[in-house]
Amino acid sequence: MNRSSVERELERLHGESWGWALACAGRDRDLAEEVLQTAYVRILSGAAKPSGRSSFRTWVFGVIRLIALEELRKARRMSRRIDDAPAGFEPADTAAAPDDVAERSERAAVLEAALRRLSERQREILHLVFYHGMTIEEAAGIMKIGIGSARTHYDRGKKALGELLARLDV
Amino acid sequence: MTDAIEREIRAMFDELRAIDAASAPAFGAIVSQGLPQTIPIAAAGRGRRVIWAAVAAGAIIAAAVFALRSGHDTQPAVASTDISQWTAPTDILLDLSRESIAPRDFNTSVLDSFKGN
Repeated sequence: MNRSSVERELERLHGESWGWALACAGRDRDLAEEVLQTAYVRILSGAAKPSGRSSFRTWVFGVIRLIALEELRKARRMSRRIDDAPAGFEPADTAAAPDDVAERSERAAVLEAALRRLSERQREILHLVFYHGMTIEEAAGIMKIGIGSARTHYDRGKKALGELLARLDV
Repeated sequence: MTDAIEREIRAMFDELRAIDAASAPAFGAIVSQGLPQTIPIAAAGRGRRVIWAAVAAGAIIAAAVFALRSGHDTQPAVASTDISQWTAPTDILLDLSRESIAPRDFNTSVLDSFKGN
């Protein structure tokens, strides 16, 4: 694939890539933009190359996920330094502003809150299957786990999410 | 898990997807922020041709200036002299046809004869 056809494919997938970047970034919009930008730069510059073993979408999602993990690790290291900082230093508030929450539908907000209660693997696989319409096999490829593990996380995650939503009486 | 709960989960994810799609940043904006500006290949080619032309012109001008300077060189570096006419300043001391080289009185000097003595 030459660069212009890669760019066309990325543009075609942009909506889905954005949704996945948001999920990987813990719904932090600024971080999601940064992650997506880094992913596009690496893909378009050739720094990230597909192995040819998966579909283009699966590969792009894998790149986004890895970059998000890198960024979150950096943020955690920074957060630990901030915690060690002398008294008086206030860390930035990374939670969504009240205006942002008001803009989203109440049901979407409830879903986000419930997803945050799940483990990372369960949250990821449910997002890939329900949000992006992927199969468990495709999701396992992106998450770099075996299909058996993926299925376990999916079943347990779906059960836990259903119980949380039932408790919230949605 | 009942089908009803699974349907509800799907509906909530569909809603979340629609909200995210509505707030997605433009693809072009994300790409242009991340990648450096590059000039089109055609313009880059034209630029390179102009540079080479300027270098060639400079070389031609330098060669012409050099050729002109070496052809109009009229100032002699050193005035020419006939070597047969040259005499050493101490030549007088070697003029033995008139002076004896026999030992002289130590109180006199061979130069005395040139002082009009």
